[in-house]
Amino acid sequence: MSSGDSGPSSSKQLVQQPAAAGRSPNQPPLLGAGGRKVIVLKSGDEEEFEVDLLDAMQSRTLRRAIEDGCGDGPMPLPNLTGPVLAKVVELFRRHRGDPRWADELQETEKEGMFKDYAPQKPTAEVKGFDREFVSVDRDALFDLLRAANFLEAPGLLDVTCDAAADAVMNMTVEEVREYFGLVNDYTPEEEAALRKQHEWAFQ
Amino acid sequence: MTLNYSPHTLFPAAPSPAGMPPDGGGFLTTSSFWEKGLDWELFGAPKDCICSWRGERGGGGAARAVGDGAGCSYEPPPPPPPPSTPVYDDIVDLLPADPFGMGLAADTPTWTAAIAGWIEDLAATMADRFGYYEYGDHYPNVGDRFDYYMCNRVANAAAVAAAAWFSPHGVPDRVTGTPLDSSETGLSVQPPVNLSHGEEFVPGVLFVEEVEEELLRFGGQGEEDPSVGLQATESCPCTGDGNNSSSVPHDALLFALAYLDIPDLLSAEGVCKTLCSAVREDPLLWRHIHIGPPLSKRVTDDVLLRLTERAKGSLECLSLMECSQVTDSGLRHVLENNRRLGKLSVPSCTRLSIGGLVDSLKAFKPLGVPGIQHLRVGGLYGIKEEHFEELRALLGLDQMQKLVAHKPRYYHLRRASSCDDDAVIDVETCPRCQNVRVVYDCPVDSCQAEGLELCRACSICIARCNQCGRCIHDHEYEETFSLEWICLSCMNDSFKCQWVHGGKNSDVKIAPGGASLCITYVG
Repeated sequence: MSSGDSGPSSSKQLVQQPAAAGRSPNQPPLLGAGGRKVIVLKSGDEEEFEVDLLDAMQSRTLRRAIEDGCGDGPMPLPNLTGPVLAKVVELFRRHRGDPRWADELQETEKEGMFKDYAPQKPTAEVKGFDREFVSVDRDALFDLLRAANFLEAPGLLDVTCDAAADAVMNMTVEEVREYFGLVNDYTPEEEAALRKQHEWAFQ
Repeated sequence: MTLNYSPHTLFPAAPSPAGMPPDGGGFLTTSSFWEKGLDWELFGAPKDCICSWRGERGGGGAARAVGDGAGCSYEPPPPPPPPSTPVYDDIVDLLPADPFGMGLAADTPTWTAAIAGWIEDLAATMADRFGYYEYGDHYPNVGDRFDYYMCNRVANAAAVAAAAWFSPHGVPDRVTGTPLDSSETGLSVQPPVNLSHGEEFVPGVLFVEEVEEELLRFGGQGEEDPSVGLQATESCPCTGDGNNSSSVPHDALLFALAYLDIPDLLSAEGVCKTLCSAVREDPLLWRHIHIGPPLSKRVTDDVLLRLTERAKGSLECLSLMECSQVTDSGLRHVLENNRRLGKLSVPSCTRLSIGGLVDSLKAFKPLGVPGIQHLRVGGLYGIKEEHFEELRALLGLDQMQKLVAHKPRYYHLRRASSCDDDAVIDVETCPRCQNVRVVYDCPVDSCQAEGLELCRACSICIARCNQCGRCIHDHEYEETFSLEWICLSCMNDSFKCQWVHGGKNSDVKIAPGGASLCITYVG
């Protein structure tokens, strides 16, 4: 949605163009019910979720997309399913003001837009939510991790990776293989050599 | 199956006691050992188990011993055979119908219950002794090896439990899947999983020679294998093309790597080749190296150098907690190879000398790009005022600058990771004794309220609770087994915690600061 959009375009864009003219070209045009800016995310299974723009900015992927002017219509996220996206959107809402990503904002010269978005330390309530958030089964956790990686959301990555690391922590090698469905591709000699190297740590 | 029972040079020739057959096979009865006044601990057999046998059995040879051999049976064993030892061709002939002499052989459930009860008794006995059991007697014959074996199993379990209690990383060998101390006892709590050179688990029967070897090895178990050293440069066996779809780790695991600590990273290497290269080839995973218990006692100079090499020069924070094997030259090597190091933490690394450390840092100063900005040296011996001044100069601290603008330092958090602590140096001159030591603050409000730093001194001047860090001079306290103090309220809390949750959905863990936490799982 830049000034270069002069070619034939949809009526929607034509209607919105005058409204956009007064603002920075990077700013998304949608306004939610309460007058706040809202964008719509569409999951792979065609479910739509409304997200406060400020919450969506926690994801670098979404931020880039919004800054490139893709925030007008529903934003398709084909590799995320509805249930996963629902959880992610809820986490974004709870993590509003999370300093992990709010720190980055100051570099993006959007002080005016985010002036009511003061970073604050996660409260006990948020921490409790995070614990609940990742107390899911293995496959759901993996889906969340993939989503976190795709969306590049530091807060979400932190929570999910922490949970995955907790799951793996103190597991034996066999347990890790079983947990992740991995096959041992070492030859016995390689395995013995590796064990020799790490003998000091596992005496 | 043979019973290869031969006299070992470990045992001195002793006179045969009464009742001992002239061809007693070389083993010694307990009484003869007592007469010789030998050090019973050497042989590692639990006294409790043997005591019921002492005096009841004179001998009978190794062969017979299997017959009446196992278990701390409280019933008298069958009478020993006549002194003229018969010659048996087949070991099967030696096995009586009731191998444990308990009259329970035919009835499996009863037998199992009896053994289970016996193990419980033993466990209770050892629990009374804080997980220790006394090494009293040497097993007089092969049969008593079973006693020894069973005791070791329980002791192993107790040791594993105790170690799991004290170690945040758990105990089992994550490379081999065998318990930690299998090499110590020659016995496994659980059978080893896909071991290529591991010891075989032979239930029930053990060979005495094997055990004696184990006992001999006992003393040297802490020594490094000479073949594992710096010369053995790390060769990653992950050179093959592990493109099999099932050997490619899930993305989730790769993301989680950054959140794992060193023992888990090392064990992750053993999972598959892709993961191994992911761990080794990523210097970012090794940018912050924190080594704490239980690894700290095992980290040598070579190991440290190998680990820090993985950062490929990007090492920023090195924290060695109580690493008593790291020497001055090892640390100097690390400093020379990692010029971006900004935080160095070597608390209680008792083999480092403060003089050597100062010299290393002096040599590092012109090399390092930003140089060391944060230093932890608490617990090193003999830090004198002049060392302190030199360190301050090296760190760029103004001589007159007072070290008051710092976060309070609490005793119970002294073992927490130091990478996120931003104080420049941890030691200072104790206001009371004027020695250069770590000076702790008091978390108690009333002590802080006075505002006069009355309750601010090193841990020698003011005794503090190990769990909450408060001063305990005017309060009741308990001295723990490991010679640390715990104030009464923390003591009560921990008891309450165990009583309330007692094993149900709860888990008592040791927090990084050394405090115990009771974690209750809801739902």
